[in-house]
Formats: sequence, C-alpha cells, structure tokens
Amino acid sequence: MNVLIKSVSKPLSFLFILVVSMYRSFLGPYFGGNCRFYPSCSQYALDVLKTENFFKAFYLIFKRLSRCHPLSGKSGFDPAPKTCCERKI
Amino acid sequence: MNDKPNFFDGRTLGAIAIVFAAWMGWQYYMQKKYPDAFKQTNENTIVENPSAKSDGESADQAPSDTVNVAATPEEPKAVLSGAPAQIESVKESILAFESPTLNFEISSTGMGIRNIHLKKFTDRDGSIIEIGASSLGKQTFETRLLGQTKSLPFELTKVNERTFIGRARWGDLEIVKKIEVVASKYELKTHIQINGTNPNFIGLSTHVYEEINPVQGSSFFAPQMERQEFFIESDGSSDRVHIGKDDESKSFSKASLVSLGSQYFTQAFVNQSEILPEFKVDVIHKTKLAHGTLSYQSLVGGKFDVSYISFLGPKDVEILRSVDSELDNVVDFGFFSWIAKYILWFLKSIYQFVHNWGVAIILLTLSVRLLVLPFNMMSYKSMKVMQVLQPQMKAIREKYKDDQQRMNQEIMGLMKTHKANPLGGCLPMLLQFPIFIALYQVLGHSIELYQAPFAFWIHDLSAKDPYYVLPVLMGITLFVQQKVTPNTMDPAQAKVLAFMPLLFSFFMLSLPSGLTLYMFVNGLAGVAQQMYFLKFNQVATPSISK
Repeated sequence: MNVLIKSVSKPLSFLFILVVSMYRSFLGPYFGGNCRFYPSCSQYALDVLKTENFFKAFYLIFKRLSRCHPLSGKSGFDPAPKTCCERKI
Repeated sequence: MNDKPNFFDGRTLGAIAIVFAAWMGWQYYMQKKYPDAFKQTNENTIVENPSAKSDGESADQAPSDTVNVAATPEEPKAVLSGAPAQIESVKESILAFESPTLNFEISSTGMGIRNIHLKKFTDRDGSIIEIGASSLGKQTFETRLLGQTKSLPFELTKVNERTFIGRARWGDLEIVKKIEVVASKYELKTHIQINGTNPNFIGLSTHVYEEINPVQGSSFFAPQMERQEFFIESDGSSDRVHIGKDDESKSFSKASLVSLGSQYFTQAFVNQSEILPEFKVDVIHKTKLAHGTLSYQSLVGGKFDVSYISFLGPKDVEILRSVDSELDNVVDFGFFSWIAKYILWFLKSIYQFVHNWGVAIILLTLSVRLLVLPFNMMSYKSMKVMQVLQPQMKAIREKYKDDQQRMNQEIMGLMKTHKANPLGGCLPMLLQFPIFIALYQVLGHSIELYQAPFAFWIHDLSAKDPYYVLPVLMGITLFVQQKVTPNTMDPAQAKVLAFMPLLFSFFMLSLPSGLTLYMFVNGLAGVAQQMYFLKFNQVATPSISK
C-alpha cells in the first residue's frame, strides 16, 4: 500500500507543481494577490507538494483554500507544516 | 516574496522547451515515417464499406435475400409483391417548401430533404447558409428499411402549405411518413406509421448527413472555432463526437436527442416515441460525409408507430428551447455551461437596451469587473501592507529562527497590529475562473454574435478582426498592466511574463473579434483600476509604514 502511494504520489505531485507554477507565472499576476494568508495559497501548495506525499498535500491545500475566503475569519501566518522553520531569510 | 528556488528558473524553462520541441519533432517524424499508417486506416474503411463510394454509407449487414426483397418496391404504385427490380429505375419526384425563414425540397427518395437554405443567415462570403449534404447527392432525414442501403421510394402528396405525406410500399406493408413543417422554429414534426404486416420487417432508419468542412486543422495558436460535431443524449448520458481528421464509427443505444452540426447551425432529432432508437455515428473522410443513422426497431407484437422532431436551423438557444426543452443542450458551452447560460441571458438583456452586441459585450465586461472590484481593492490594500511589512517580518524570522512557535506568534502579532488581514481570499478569486471560461465559451459559440456588427471596421463579432487592431491593442494593454502592477516575482518569472502580451496577442489573432474586444476592454479596465490604486496608495502609504 505504502509503495503504491509512493509511486503514484511523485508524478501527481509533479503535475500539480507544474499547474500551480503555471498559474503563478501566467495568471497569478492578473488574478492573484488576494490571499488572506502568508505564505499565499499557491506558495503554500508548492511547499506542501514538495514536502508531503501527494494525498496529504492535496488534503492540506484543500483545507487551506476552504479557509481562504472573506467569511472564514482566519488569516495571517500559516506556513506549510514542514517548511516553516527551515526557511532561511 | 519567497526564498525557495522558483520552479520556473532558467533550467526548468529550458527543460520544458526541450520536451516541447522533442514532442513536436516526434509527431513530425512519425507522420513522415509512417504516412501509410493513416492511409491504411482509410483503405480499411473502404474495404469494410464496399458501398461507401456510391453511397457514402456504412456497410450493409443485411442478408442477401432481404436485399432482394428490398428491391421489390420498384415503383411506389407498383404491385404489392412484384418481381425484383432495380431500385435506381425509380423516378424521383420533388416537392418544394418555401417560407420566409426556410427553403428546401422534399425528395421522394426516402422522403428526405435537400437544398436546405436558411434564408435569414448568410456565410462569410454573403451567400445564404445551406446545411446538409445536397452537393454530395444526399437527402438528409431520408428513411430506409432497417438493414438496407437504399432509401424507400415514397409517393409524395402535399396536404397543405406545410404538411407533406409520403407513402411507400414494401410487399403488403405500407409505410406512411408525415412531415409537418413549422418554419419559424425550423422544426419538422415527423410521424411514421406502418399499415399491414411483413414478416421481414424489422424496423426503420432515418438518416442525417452533413458535408465535412475541408479545414479541420487547429493548433494552439489557431484554434479552430468552426468545428463540426455530433451531440448525442442517450440512456441518461450525453456525448459529443468531434469531427476531426480521423474516421469515426460509434453507436449509442436509447438515444433521446441527437444532433449533427457546426458551430452555429445544426440538424437534430428529438425522439418522441416510446421506442427508443439507436443512433450510429459515421465519419468517412473519403466520401466527405458525416452521417448519422437513427434506427427504430420494431417491437415484437407491438404496433410500429414512430414520431420524432427533426430540426434544421441556427443554434439559437431560444429557438432550440421552444422546440424542445432539452434541445438547447446541443450548444456547446463547455464544462461551465450552467454559468454560461446565465451569462448569455445577461448579455441578451443588455442587448435589449443598447441594440449592439459589441456595446453589450463592453457593458458585460465592465459589469464583471465591477463585481470583483471590491475584492481587488481589498487585496490590493493588504498586498501593499504586506510589502511594507516585509522587512520587519524578515527581521522577526531571523530573530526567532530556532523557536517556531514564537516566530508564528510574533508574525501574527505584527500582522494584527497593522491590520494586514485581508478581507478577500483565494477562494473567491478561484471562483472567478469558471465565469471567465464560461464567458469565453459564450462569446465563441453564440449565434447571436454571428455576423453581428459592432462599429468602425468590425462588421462581424464572430469573425477575426480583419486588421488585427484589437489583438494588438489588447497586447499593449497587457503590457501596460504589467508595467503598472507592482512586481513581486523573481527575475526568471518576470522574464517569462514579459513575453506574455506578445504570446497573448499572437494567440488572439485568429479568435473572434467579440472575444478580443472582451479581452481588450477587460485589460483596459484593469489598467485604469491599477492606476487608480497607485494614486490612492500614495496618499495612504505614510499612515501604514512605521
């Protein structure tokens, strides 16, 4: 089971990273900049896709997007679980 | 804004370019190397369908003795069980139908119709729109005995201006086909009844034909808008079969609604019988024919009594809906069709007041922009605040590098004190995309825009801009918008983005000018909005920054 998840996870993650990156490059500048959180949803998506397996990442992205609207009452600093502290700035 | 290496760095871009080039090269190579692979499939089709050349018809699977019986009804008035004769010898008789909207001829061959002219519409060259496949010698809506390749010869009578009855005999069997034309709705109410019995009778088929357009190629930079397709609603699901460069052969059982048409005009059947027909789709490039077969099988013991509505006209949502509540589904508004229908309704409402589709598009664009303006404004404000706070956040992260919890708290605190909690969000923004996609579909597929003039040099909003003014203007607005939008991207990303206006303009060159008008106005509104924000912001910044 674990092997199956692993073998499927990689290509799916790659596909999603590609899509999100395309969005960030091409559409983000025109549509984006609306995010309530930091890092933004798309950056968060890239972060979790790179650090978690695809299914967990998908769940986390879904959770994040479902909180990112005017009525959620939540906002602010919300890093991807495994990236928040290794980040160098 | 972020420190992680971006996905779109130079190397990745290079890799993508190489993969893309390799793929294109591979396609080209395959076509050069195995040109007979394509040829072979064509030849196979011909072998399977020996009658294809003369008939443009799919293979006849009927046993030979049935064919002989089929040849019996040599003349409509001939003896009931005459000797076998050649069906070709039957003289064709023709009745004409004329109306302000629709002209056609009813042929005694299968009581099919041909030389169909939609008089209210003209094509790009100014000649009246003709549908069907008359030039290939085909009568659309012609009726045959199931399992045979020749159409039934009918004896035609004109009951009144809009009602026609055809009678055909096959042994002791009489087939009565009645067509009642409702020209204003482009509708042919058809009823087929069987009198008498014949043990060989298994059912009837009615056929629909369309000539395949010669140009079906499309690419990323020149999307083909005038494509042809079959639409089939059968057994609870709906399918589209696009007519591409390959031959097709597919069957659908329990069909309730089928159509064969192009972007703006279509022929369709709506079943109204208890017997649910089977629909077979055949695309044969050798004969230039797209051919649909609607087959009604006779039920054991039941009376064969079939009615359906044939439609041949424009894909105007209101007309289609007036014929049948489901018929407007033949218009392909894509995945977000339910949104598209509301957008079209809104566009039509505006048109009622302004009587110019171009102006209606502009007003629609501005309405959509106005709708999302509050979100844009809020997000712009919070983005500015975040930009201002960036150095402070950096400092906090440096300071609490080893204490994650503390860092989170500090950053949250910082954001709270500066009210950097935006009122917008990503979800509303994501919800915008379906609207944009639906709008694109509406502008690309609505007959309302077909040959609708706007102003100046644009005489047809569904055709490309003849002088490419709008695509170029749109590219310029995109470029300006990029310049006035604060850039938070890394250099590689910015480089990619610098090509976007050019790419977009190029992409838009051959698209309908209604679409480019929309893109241009949208871009212009975006620039105006951005300029306003920038001006507004210069006043507001001092109060935000410490």
